[in-house]
Amino acid sequence: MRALTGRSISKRCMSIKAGAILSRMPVITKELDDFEISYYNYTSELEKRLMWTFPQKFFFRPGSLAERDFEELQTRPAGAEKLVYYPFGRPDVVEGRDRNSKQDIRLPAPSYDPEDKSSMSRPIEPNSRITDADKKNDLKSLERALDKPLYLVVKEKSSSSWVFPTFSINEDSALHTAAEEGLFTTGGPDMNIWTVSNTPALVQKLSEDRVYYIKSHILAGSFKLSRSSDYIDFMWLSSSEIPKHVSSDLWNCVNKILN
Amino acid sequence: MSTFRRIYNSVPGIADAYGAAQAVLKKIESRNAARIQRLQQKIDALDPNDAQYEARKRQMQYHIMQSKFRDEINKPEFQELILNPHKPAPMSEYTAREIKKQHWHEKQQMLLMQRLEQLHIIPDTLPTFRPKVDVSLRFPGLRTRVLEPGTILPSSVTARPPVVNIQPFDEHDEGLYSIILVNPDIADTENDSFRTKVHWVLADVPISLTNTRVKYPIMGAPTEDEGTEVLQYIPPTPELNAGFERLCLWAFWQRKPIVGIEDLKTQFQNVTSARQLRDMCKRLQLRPLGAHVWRNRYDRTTDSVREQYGLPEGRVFTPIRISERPATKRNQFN
Repeated sequence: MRALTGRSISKRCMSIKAGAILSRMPVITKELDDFEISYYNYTSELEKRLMWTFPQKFFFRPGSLAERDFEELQTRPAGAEKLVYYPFGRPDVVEGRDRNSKQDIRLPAPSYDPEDKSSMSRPIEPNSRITDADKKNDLKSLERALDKPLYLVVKEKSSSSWVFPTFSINEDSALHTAAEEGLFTTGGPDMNIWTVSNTPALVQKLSEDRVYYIKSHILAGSFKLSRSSDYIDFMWLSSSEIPKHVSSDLWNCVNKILN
Repeated sequence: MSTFRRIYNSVPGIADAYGAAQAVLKKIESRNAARIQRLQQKIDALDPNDAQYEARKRQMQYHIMQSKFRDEINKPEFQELILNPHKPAPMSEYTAREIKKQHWHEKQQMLLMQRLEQLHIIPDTLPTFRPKVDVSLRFPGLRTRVLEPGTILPSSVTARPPVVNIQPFDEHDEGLYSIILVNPDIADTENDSFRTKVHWVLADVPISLTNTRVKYPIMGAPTEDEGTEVLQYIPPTPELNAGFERLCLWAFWQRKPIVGIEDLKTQFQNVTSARQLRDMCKRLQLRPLGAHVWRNRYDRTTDSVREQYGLPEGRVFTPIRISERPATKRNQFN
């Protein structure tokens, strides 16, 4: 009898909480794996092999100076000679191109002043894929691990364990508004957040609570932990780094909805 | 080394890409192997006394087969089989069978059902069904390799019985088969209708995944891989002006060998309606798994077929009933 009473009381006390899975989407394309690298290399080589011969007369008027400059840079393959045996096939040269392989075109380098940073002809230098935050291993920065989605994890004041931020909800507020408001009270107002849906993506069943996780993206601004919140620290982690910090129970529950 | 192979220089990077692809496949394979091992351990751990032992075991074995299928489908020989539907496949292998089944589902099965329904074979002979086996016919002397369902054939071609192949795609569709050739288009002037005639009946034909040819003895007792010819083939001989005759060949899966096979001949000879045929199939516990159909009409070879087989002379039909027909010189022969 007592057991039954206890069960009914605990059921009545069960509370609903809104969890927030705040993510930063990747900024750059992901690193290619070995297969992708070699496959793209092969397809681009194949495309070059099948490409039309460069229409030289169209771009460089015959007899012009430009044609002479262009012609000086090219190395033309030798055509097939009579009475010569070619064990690996006679060269099939048409219009100065061996049709059994890709055409190697060398264009005259554009003249530019290396000092002049605003020159239109300067070569394009892409930014590094590895940022300063990556080098310093700054887990609080949003400019780290640019090719992976990052997720916000916070440290609880009471148990000092890493979790996804969860907030208790008022009786008359919806789950997604509670999650958004909670994020703004913990992370400050300098964030532009977009909540994907008002439907929770996941429910975590704890002994006393049910945590409904709402997914949202941080589009601009940064997360600055306010002192008045229930959390003492925060990190932006990729999905491969999360299991090192959170409890295995939480990870087993949440990993299905992380990329 | 062939000349072409010697003089051809392949695209740079192809060897690397091939090696990397192989590595990816190997990774998938090892993951699948681990899965298979896990399932095998689960099967070993099952309690044989459990009421659901067989069902669970079968379910897990199915998952093992699926894992193996996912491995093998990436192999070049099976990829070739996918690309070329006409390539003969080793049907004893699960993967090859699944590929062939997929090809059949995509074309032949749909074509068959379309013909059966459009020619009203269903429901004029048997109720609707779901084909599970591929029935293919070949007539001796006909050049076309595979007969499309619904083809109109000359009587001289259909004078001799067709060579029937039944290709099952699942192990549980192996076993004994019966074959019934039905013609629902015999004109019945007395009742102003049509009646059904059974042209050919074979029973207890053993069919397996690899042994697909329907065999029966011309003379003497059947051997192990032969069935029994219950009713000898009667060549279809359509009547003049009576339109097409639909010859529907039904392949039935038998639950067990047929008992009392000697009496079946007269029973099938006495079948005159689709209802009687359905009753017979129900009584003999025949489950239709495949079908085929061709059509005959009166042509210049029909009379010679009648002569050859000693069949009675054909009737001639006109759109006007005999009683209503004016007696002229032209239709005196009736």
